This record gives sequence, structure tokens and C-alpha cells, in this order.
Amino acid sequence: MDMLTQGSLFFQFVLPVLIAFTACTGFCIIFNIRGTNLWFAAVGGAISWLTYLLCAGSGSEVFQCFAGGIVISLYAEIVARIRRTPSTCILTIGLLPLVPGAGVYYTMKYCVQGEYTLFAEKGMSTLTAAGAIALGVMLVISIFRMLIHLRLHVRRKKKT
Amino acid sequence: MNYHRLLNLVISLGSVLMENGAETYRVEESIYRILEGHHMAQVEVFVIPSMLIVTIRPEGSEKIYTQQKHIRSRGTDLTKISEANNLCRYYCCNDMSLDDLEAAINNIRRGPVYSRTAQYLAYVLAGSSFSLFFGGSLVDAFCAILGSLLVKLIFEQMGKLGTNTFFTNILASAALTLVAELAAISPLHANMDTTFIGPMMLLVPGMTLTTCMRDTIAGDYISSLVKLLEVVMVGMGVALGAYLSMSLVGLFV
Repeated sequence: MDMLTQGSLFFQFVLPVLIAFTACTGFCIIFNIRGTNLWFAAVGGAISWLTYLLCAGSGSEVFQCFAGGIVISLYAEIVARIRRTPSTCILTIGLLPLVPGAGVYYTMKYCVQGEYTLFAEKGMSTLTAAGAIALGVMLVISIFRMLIHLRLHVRRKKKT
Repeated sequence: MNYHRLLNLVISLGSVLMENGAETYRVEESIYRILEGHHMAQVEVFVIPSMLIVTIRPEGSEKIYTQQKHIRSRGTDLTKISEANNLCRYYCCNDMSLDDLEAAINNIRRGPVYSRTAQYLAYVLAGSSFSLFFGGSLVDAFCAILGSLLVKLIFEQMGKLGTNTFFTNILASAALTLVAELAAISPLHANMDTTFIGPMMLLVPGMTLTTCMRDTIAGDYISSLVKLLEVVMVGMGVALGAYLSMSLVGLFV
């Protein structure tokens, strides 16, 4: 519990999530999201990063990315239904903090410097992280699509 | 009923969606939805990221109408996607004339965008935030502001010249690396890595990546392959630009 003193809590969770929020706000403007949706999308970025940080205890980056992908796509599908906007709008922004930008950069840097062992190692871990995010997103969207089809099916049965 | 005009409008709406980065299934569904209420015996819609083909045969007629559109410009405007999507839903539930539909589509096309200043500020905000996000210090974030401004400037100017995305990315990435290297050498002693990563996130094609995933889920593999290739090309452009700049600086330092 020593880790959770006030100061470290701030630097461990609050500050990174706030920074993720401002970064996503910037991207909302770049992607021309307007009005209330802008804030919903930017909060999505904060939520995905908070999930990633909270799952740090699992010790596996792949799981962190997977969990982040699942939570953000759930959030996107729910907000899309409330706000009546395509879920892509929320999802695209929310995924940005999870994108392994640093991993891509170091992979590239090792390649340029000719450190091929490190390059292969970093490249693999980056690819796995990206794959994990995609899997999480695909899982949730597929389940949601299934539910929608199920609902339509039930409605049709009731009519006949 | 003027079927040529209907087809024209449907294609126009589809291209608004596609040009602003919508998924393939969304474009197809929107077109089907609008044609649903017009008593068609046959509707065929073919959509890939660069092409739209719609063929219709009205009920009780042997005449076939078809139209295609080549989509060249590609951007990201989530408000336009959202509005076009809502228009389709509205059209099929309400009585709306073709004139109204045309006016609504034109309205979406001319929709508001953020001012130039706001866009520059957004690039700065996103770039410097991501620099902090990946563990940079305040000095790094400050240098990232410069990098972000440069990225936006290059995007803007290259867009005017009609340069392809691959070359634009090489240029932007090379300029960014140069800024980061200079910031590291300069008395500011910035960390080169974090100074570069922040603005580099601006080059990441986030929208294309998400659309690629969603196209794969929907089973539109041609579209998702095209988008995956787009992402890979951006990545290669960024890597190449950084490589050129690093080698160049390596010659002098």
C-alpha cells in the first residue's frame, strides 16, 4: 500500500490520464469532431489509458492493451447509442493513447542503428501489442453486432 | 420519378462518406437505406476505398440505371460522417423530396471546419501532450511544439501542391527528426526520443487503422487490405524520413 500514497497516486494515474485527455482533445479538433461529441471522445481516450494503467498489475503489456481495447470499444458502442453518432468517431480517438507509438519509434531507431537483435525484439513486442488492441476491439464489436442481429430476429418473430 | 437524379444524389452521399474516412459497410448500408423506399426491383452497390458503383432497376421496368464514381481525395472529418449517417436514417423514416435531399447533402459537404489557427493549436496540443505522455520532460514538450508546427505546415503546403502522402510523410518525419536532433544538441539538452515521438503521433493514421479493423470485422477484405497497405506505407515513409535525417546529422556530428 506504500505505493498508493497521495503523491505517487497523482503521478501514477491522475497526471498521465489528464495528459492523455489533452492529447485526445487535440486530435478531436484535427479530426473535426464538434460540439458535445468532442468531450465524449476525449474522455474515451482518458478511459482507455486509465484501463491500461489499472491493468499494470498483470505484468503483461499485451493484456493491458487487450483490456484497453475492450473497455474503449464498449464505451464507444454505448456512447454511440446515447449520442446517436457512429461509434467510429469515439473509437478512433479513444484508441490513440493505446497506439504503441514509442514501440514503433524504438523499433525504427534500432533498425537505423543496426542493432538487429533489439530491433527484432522491439518489433515483435510492438506488433503483439497492436494485435492485442485489435483483438480486443474486434471481440467487442463482433459481440455487439451479434446482439443487434439477435434483437432484430426476436422482433421479427414477435411480429409473425 | 427521375432515376438519374436519384442515382446522382445517392452517389454524392456515398462519396461524402467515403472521402471522409467512413467504413465500407457504412457506405453500402447508407445507399441501400436511401434506395429502400423507392421500390427497386434490384439494387447493386459496390464499394471499395477508391470506387463507388451503384446499379438500380426500378420495379416494373426493364431499364437499368448505373453510375460509378472514382474517389480521389481522402481525408478525415468525423462530423461529416456522423451527419451523413443521420441524414440516411432521417430520409428513410420521413417524407423528404429529392430537392431537400440534395440541399441536405450540399449542406454536409460545406459543413464547418475549425479555423486555421484552431488547427495549428490542436496540432501543438496533441504533439506536445503526447511528448509528455511518453515520458518527456517539459523541455521536450516545448521542443515538440516546434516539431508539431512544422508537421502541420508541411501537411498544409504539400496538400496545396498535391504531393502524395508517402512523400509528405518522408518530409514531415525528416523535419521532425532534424528538430529533435538539434534540440538534443542545443543547450536545452532535450531528450531526442521523446521530442520525436510526440509529434510523430500526428503522423500515425489513426482513422485508417480503426477503419481497417472495422472493415475486417465486416468482411470487406479488399477495403481492409487497401487500408492496411496505406498504414504500412505511412509507416515506411516515417521510417525512411527519420533514417535520412539521422544519417545526415550523423555526417556532421
